[in-house]
Order: sequence, then C-alpha cells, then structure tokens
Amino acid sequence: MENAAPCQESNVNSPSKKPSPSSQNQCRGYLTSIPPEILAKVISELPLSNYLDIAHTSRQLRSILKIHAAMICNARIRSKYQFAAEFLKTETMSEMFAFKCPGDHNHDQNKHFSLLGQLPVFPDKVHYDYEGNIFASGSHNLIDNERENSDTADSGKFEAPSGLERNCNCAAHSADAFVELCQSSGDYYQSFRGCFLNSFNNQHILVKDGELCTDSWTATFLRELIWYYGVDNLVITENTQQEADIFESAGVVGRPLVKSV
Amino acid sequence: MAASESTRITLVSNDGAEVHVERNVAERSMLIKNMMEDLGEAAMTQSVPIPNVNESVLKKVIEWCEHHKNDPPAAADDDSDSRKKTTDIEEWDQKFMQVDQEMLFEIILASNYLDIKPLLDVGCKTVANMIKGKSPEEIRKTFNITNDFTPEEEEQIRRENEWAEDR
Repeated sequence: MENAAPCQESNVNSPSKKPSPSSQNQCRGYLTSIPPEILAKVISELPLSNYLDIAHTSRQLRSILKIHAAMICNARIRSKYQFAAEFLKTETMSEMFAFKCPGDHNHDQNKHFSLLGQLPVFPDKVHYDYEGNIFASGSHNLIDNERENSDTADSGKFEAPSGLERNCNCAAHSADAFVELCQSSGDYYQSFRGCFLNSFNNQHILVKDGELCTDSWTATFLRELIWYYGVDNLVITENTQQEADIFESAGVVGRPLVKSV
Repeated sequence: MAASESTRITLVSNDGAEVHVERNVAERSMLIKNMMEDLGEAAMTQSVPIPNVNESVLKKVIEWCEHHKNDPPAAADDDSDSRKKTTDIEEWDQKFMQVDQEMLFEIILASNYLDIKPLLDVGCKTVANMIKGKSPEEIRKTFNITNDFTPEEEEQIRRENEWAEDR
C-alpha cells in the first residue's frame, strides 16, 4: 500500500498548500535531503532486493548508500534482528554491530560471532540440507573469515554475515528457536542444523592480497555484499566449470566480479 | 480524568502560532516531556517553544499524538519482537499519512526532532512502502529525482544488474 502521493499529484487530504510550480520544484530532493540516519531507517525497512534499485536511482542516492553502508546495516539489524542483538552481547567492529555468542565453548578461537563477522567453523566441516541430510563434507568451511585472519575487520572493508545472522534471515526461524540455538552449549548447530543452509552457506570468502575474494556466488549473495555491506571489490578466484562457462560465454572469464561500486 | 491529563499547555510553533494541547498528549514527544520535567511548575504558566516545527506540521503531529495518547508507552528501543517490525501500518495511521510529500517528510523530520519514535516509525515505513518493489525509474518518478548518472556509470549499473539478476 502506498500512502503519500507522488510529487506531481495534489492530495485533497493534505493540509498544506496546493501544488504550484514553485512547490513542485521544492518537491525535488525530499527523499535525499532527509538526514542520513532517517534515510538509513527508511532503507532498513525495505527488502534487500530493493537496495540495488535505490542505488541505481541517482548518483546521490548511490553515494548515500555507499557512504552510510554501516549505518544502514546497523539500522537493519536494529529493526530486523534486534532479538539477536539483544540476546547476544553486542559490540561494535568496524563501525558495525557485532555480537559475541555465549554458547560456543568448544572453539575459543572462534568465540567471536559477529552479526557481520565470521562464522563458526564446523569441526567436522559438514554441511546439511534443509532436511538435515549431509550433502557436503571435507575442507569446505562456510566462510574463511576467522578471527586469526581478521584483516577484513581491521581494514573495515568487509565482514561476512554469520550463520547466526543468516538464521535470522530464514523465514521459518522463530525468535524462540534462535534463542534455543544460541543457548545450547556445545553442538548448537546440531539442533538447528537444517537452518544453517541458505545461499550464503556455500560461499567461500577470504581476503587475498588485500582483496575480498570468493569462489562462488549467487544473486542474493551479490546484492547483499554490494549494498548491505558496502563492499567495493569482490574477485572471483576459482570458478566452477559451470560458472566458468557462463563467464566465458559472457566474455568475462577470470575478470573481477565487482569493482568500484 | 486525572488532573495531569486535563492540564493544558501551550506550544508555540516556529511561525509564532500558539497550539493548545493536553499535557499528556504533548508528552508523547519525549522532547516535550523532558522539557516539562525540566521546567517544572513554570511549564504550566508559560508557553513551550517548538522552534523547528511550523504550525501546520505541529497541528498534524498533535493530531497523531491525540489519537495515540492512550497507547502503551514504548520502552526505549522497543524492538523486542522483530517479527512485528514490518512495513505494515495500521489503518488509521495509513490514512493519517495520506498527505503530500512535503507534509510527509515534514512530519518525519518533526517526529525525529520531537523524539516521537512511533510516529517516526510510521513515517519511515510509509516512505519505505512508496519505494518497495519499484524500479529505479519508478522511484525517480515517485520522488521527482533526476537520473544524473554518466554513460559510464549507466554501463556499470547495467553490469551490476546482470550480475545480480541473471544468476
């Protein structure tokens, strides 16, 4: 439902003056002239799928989104994932909210679970599908962004979304289930393993030579990387054959995927 | 009715208009509530200046406060249930926000200044609903925004769209 009228239209319910040429001129820029923190709040109410559309509207909006990426992201966390941020101890990293998960006692080096940071490294490195069946195992970590490799956090360039945050993203997840997940002391993902999978879980992200790299990606992943997290650069390091074929057919074999957003 | 509820105070907009309002209605604004507490008894005998809000917007904001005067007070940062945080807006508020864009954004700025978080939420959700699902061109049309991208930037956008949508 849309409430307020577009600039060009008059509105009988409005107590303000009738539209005039001068007021039409004044109309320009209302959206972009509001303080960034309010614009961030507006954007945080939108689905991620709208972020690129906003960024493609004008240079000013594109610039606002990029400059205030952290603020927008934080506003979204406040509005959408507040129960998670509240339950977990929140801190700020690289101007973005992060939290510490009290439930992970087994892997001290991975104790820091950021809403925008690293993932737990599964001890057995096993992935599950939504039905809880193992579909992959071996050395494929969810996201290679551990504390000891925290150059991403230090540079403020990028922190990948955690599995816990992604759980919040899954529509099937309730706040209660999320809390239950976090409160379980050890094998927390075991009780919630099916929910760990979405498009992000198949991403392998690392920083290489100062650049953020991945070997696979999806449309959702890209959208969120670019506009949800304000990522500048993303380089494909290893394409699957299928992806390589797609790139080749598009004439973009081995080229950087995203540059200078 | 309790004595405090029937007490009326006078607000003065930035264009000099006096707006008389019940104190408990005005105190939906945390700014005014804090001012009243700071002023103490003096607040009942002197007008309260609202220097950043004009008469028409102030009256509109007071109209919202009047309708919502019996709402339970929201706790600080009351977002305890994220499932409630959608772009759904209750019917009365939807009608309330059926104003032109100038007034809509004035209400948003006023609610931000007056620290009326629920009204700010409604305003932001209203704007979000105006953006939701729209293409860049539709967003430009809705908010009268000029497409000022250079051809090179347009090409970059085209590539971003391909990357984001063709997968």
